Amino acid sequence: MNRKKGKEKKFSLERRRARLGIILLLPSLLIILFIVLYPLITSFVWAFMKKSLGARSEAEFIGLKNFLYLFRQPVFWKSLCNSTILTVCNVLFQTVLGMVIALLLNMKFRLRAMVRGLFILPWATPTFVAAFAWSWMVDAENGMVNIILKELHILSEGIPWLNQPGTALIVVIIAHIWKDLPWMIMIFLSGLQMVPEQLQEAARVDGASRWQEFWNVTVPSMKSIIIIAILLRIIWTFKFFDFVQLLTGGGPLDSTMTIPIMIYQQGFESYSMGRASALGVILFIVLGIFSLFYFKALSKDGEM
Amino acid sequence: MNRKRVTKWLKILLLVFLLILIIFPIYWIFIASISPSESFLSVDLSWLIPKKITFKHYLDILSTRNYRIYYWNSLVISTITTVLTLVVSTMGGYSLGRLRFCGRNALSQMVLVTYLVPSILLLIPLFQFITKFHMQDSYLGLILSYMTFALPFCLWMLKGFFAGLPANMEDAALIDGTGVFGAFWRIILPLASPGLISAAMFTFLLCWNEYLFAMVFINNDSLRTIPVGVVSNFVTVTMGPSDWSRVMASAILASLPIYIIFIGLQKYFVAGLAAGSIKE
Repeated sequence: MNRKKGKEKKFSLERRRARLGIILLLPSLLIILFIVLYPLITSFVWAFMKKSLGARSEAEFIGLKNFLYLFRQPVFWKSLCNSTILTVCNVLFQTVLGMVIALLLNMKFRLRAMVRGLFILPWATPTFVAAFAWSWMVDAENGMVNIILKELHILSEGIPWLNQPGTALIVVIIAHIWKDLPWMIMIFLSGLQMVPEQLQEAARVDGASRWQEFWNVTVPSMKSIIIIAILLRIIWTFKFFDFVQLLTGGGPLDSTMTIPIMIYQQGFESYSMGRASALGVILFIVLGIFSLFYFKALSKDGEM
Repeated sequence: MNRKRVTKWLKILLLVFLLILIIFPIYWIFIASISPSESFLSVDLSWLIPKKITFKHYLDILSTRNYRIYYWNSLVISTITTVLTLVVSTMGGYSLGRLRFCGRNALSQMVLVTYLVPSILLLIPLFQFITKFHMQDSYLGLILSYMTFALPFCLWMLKGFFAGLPANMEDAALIDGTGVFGAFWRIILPLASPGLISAAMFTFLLCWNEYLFAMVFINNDSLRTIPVGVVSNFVTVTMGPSDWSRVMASAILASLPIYIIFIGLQKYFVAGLAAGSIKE
């Protein structure tokens, strides 16, 4: 009799917890439903329609025409190319530099907390401030970059880095690397702190050099963190809009055009919601592929 | 032993070199904001260590009513969004992280997916949605649209935090007779306060820096936030030296709150990154 009662009590506890769970989650779900899911689905529907900006404009179903139109635009392929280059460079340099700096910041030295704090600054800087900083640093006449290069006699005259098609993308890439590096550094730093000390000491006792210790102990221990960080970076860089828009707006001559900027221009400068939404679908698919990898990496980590 | 010391000093040197590279752009703006306007007419290497400094530009900016309004708007919007998001996402994060119910895993995945949705995708339908309800040019419209990224992000991060707390804490609380909600409110919540601080920091930063929605959804200048206000009002095509100084001073002032928060609370920053992004 007592056992039965005990089981009933447990059952009702599970129920109460489940009910609390649903109640607590409800506000979040409702909000997300209205402001994320509903607009997202609307956006997907528009991708197959001809619709222009304006609350009362008619929308007619035109199938895949928006997509076909986009595929015929050279600027679309340029955007895709630029987005990819930006993402690849970003991730590559941030991973390497991030790891190097994280390793350095893991050392023990005085004022370590302050130095770590200073490394956070680029990430904490508002995007528009960073855009000012970089625009001005590469200014043809007054920019420090040109001034320093002139002093070193590498250049005789300042280059208008952001105003000519060839070099604008380079500045955009470097600026992105600069802005997001702290995030990578901090992730790696927390990962480094989770590497088991015993393994490191065992390696050292066995006579491994620092280099070997790094590759054979540190990196494998951090493997899942590195992979997850890289995937997240890829996703975020691909969808990042503000920074490029504030630096160049996609120009000059579309040389820094990325997919998010193209979406913005299609929607708010060409007023074609259908095409902007179609681009959005494409972007979503690209991000979705990487997100799948991300989820897979996460669940593998969980099983560890 | 000596070799070890040399290596260490070389590494420190490398670190300092990288630090200088990283900080340089910000240092540049800062110097520009405290240099007298005339020095903008001839910039060279000696500019890096200014001979004369002036805080006139800061005073100019602070006495510009527009700027103070932008600052206020940014402050209010960021704070309200953060508080609202935190309240809702703390409950939701606890639910997803520690309670079991039918469909929890599926909903968990869905939240993750919404977190990865780019704002640019939502911009257009949200724009229609907001104009339909006449919420453009209002705090409410912007706050709602900020929640599209703030809420999934906080849910995700807090879920990780809550899940990472020791299991069966609620059971111990129940023995003491607190009930399921009491277990949440009195036991778990205080323990998760580092997570809440992290989430609040990140959310505040996201709102403070946000440019796209703020630019599109608000046209009334008295309601603008800092990023849009400064870019659209202070930066013009034909800018003279004194305009540049004001822009630089406004940039530093706009960055200060965030710098202070993040440098001061950096341990929460690191903890937040780990829990939110890389642990399931």
